[in-house]
Amino acid sequence: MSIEVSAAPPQTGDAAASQRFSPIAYAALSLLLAWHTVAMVLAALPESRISDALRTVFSPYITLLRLDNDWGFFAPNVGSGYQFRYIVKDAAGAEHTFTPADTLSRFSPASIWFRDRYRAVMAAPETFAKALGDSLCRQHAKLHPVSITLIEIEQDDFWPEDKLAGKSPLDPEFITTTPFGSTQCPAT
Amino acid sequence: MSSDVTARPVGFFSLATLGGLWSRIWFQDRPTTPLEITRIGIGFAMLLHYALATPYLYLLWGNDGWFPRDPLHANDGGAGIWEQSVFFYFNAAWQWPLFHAFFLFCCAALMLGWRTSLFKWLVLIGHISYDQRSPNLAYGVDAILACLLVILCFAPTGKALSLDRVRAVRRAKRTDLGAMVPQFSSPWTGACIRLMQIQMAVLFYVSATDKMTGEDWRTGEAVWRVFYHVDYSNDLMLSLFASHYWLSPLATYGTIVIELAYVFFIWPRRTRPYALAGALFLHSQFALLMRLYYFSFVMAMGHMSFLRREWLDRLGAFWVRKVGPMEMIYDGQCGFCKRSMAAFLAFDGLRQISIRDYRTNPSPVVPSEKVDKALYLVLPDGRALPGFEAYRYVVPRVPGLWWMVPLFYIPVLSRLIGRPLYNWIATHRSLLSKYA
Repeated sequence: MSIEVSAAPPQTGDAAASQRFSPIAYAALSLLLAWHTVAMVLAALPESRISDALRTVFSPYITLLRLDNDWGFFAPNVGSGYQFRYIVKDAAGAEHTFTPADTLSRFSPASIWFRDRYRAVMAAPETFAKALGDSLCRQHAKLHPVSITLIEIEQDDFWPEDKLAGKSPLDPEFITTTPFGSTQCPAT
Repeated sequence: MSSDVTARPVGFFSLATLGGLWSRIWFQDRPTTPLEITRIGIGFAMLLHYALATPYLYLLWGNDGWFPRDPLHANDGGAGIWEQSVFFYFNAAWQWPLFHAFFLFCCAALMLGWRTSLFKWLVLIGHISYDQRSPNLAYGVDAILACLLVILCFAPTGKALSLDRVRAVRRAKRTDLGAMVPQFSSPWTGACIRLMQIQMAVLFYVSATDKMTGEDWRTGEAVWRVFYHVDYSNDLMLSLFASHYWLSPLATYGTIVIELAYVFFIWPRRTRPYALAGALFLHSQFALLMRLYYFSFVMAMGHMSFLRREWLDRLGAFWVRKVGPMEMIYDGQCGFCKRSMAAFLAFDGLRQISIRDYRTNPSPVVPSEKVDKALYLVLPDGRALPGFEAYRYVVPRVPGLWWMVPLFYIPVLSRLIGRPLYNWIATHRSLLSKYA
């Protein structure tokens, strides 16, 4: 469906749309415009009595067409950075730490997908941690892994004086390390 | 006088007046060019983005990948029933690569403007499907894409800067090489452009006002925090900002000012160029400093809805002036030649090339005996270029023909294939006319 009314030569000035639309078409198109405009605005509105009431009507349309977004880019705050790491413990008892983000090129969209995947795992470990752990066991089979421990790194504040002192945002003093899951690897 | 004073407010708010105002706001007669630029950009960006996802197809969207199918996702009787994806109905491994390949094809078709009326809807359905199947992977750019695609679906896109337009022009020129197909414009196009403009303004308004409620933005620390954030870290900028920390509040408040100013100053004629430049500058910084290339490019495509018709006309006129007039002299009795010319001229959207049938209107510059052997191109300085050289000259100078540049300028292609092929065609055009 492509809503075309006419392909008449361009007119100068404000064209009276009713001259080229039938009244019914004009009304229908105007209704569509009003509907979609309200949907666009509503999707971005914060919760309130009015917006919640309207959302019950507009929700199927907004959800179906994936118009639902609050457009809060780095808002209201930038938020802490999170990084995923994991530790592979091998049969000899040695521990190997891996930081997947270090292997990804920032120029490739794959870096964002992998980052989002790890973010999802950190946000909902009860749902995703086991599958990730199992895949890491297979990925590092050559190390003869015994267990994989999943780690969440949360960034703390980092200030200009820290940078000027030669420190890095991911130095141990600026991060909080939290194990959030572990997997026992099958014997290889 | 008193009756005039009392009658005027009522008259002002009459239904006819409101209707007129509604029409002026929404139903301005407009060509589709801004939407076509958005279409081409979005089509290209999605084609590249999803093509790069191909090695990770099963991982990202497969049933046994990173995000196993949540049984509640498709069977939720509430909002979930509206969260639909084609992937929910796949049950065999081959269906994923088949759908993915088809989707890439649809993105290419959208970019080129081929059968646009159909493929724009398929791209929208496909994009939503990828999003809904793995919502953890979706971020701001995917939401923006959905919003822009919906509007492109409503709009009569494909009427310009498209293969659909080429097809229409070629069809007309096959009957009459001099035929001019008028530029499509309609009030509904104007309405859809307005929708996209409102979408972008809403986006910027909410983005700006949301930021103003956050402490990071109020204190001027936000940009500093972005540059040390693990996802966007930029050591060069971090060093610069650490040494000159005043840059952080400048960039932080500047971001909000640009976003908020956009909402109000993008509409008036005088301030639109500056608001648009500010927005494009902002997104260029996101791309360069935060490596958000996909997001920044898609946002820029949304801003194209604010391109004025006169700017595009002026750009086209500048280009035509810069290149100068070109006249192609052809054989009007050669059916194959006329059909080839029709196909060639169909890509000349700026109408830079004029034509002359030497049979009915001999050229004062090129003798007819010469044109009998090959097509000729007469340049503004009076030079005449024959055959292959004529095409080679025209191709980089006519934007619609830029896709042909490799055929004429890559040495191997042009020397080994292009030139001999043209010479053979020119020599055997009478024979070809019988079969064309």
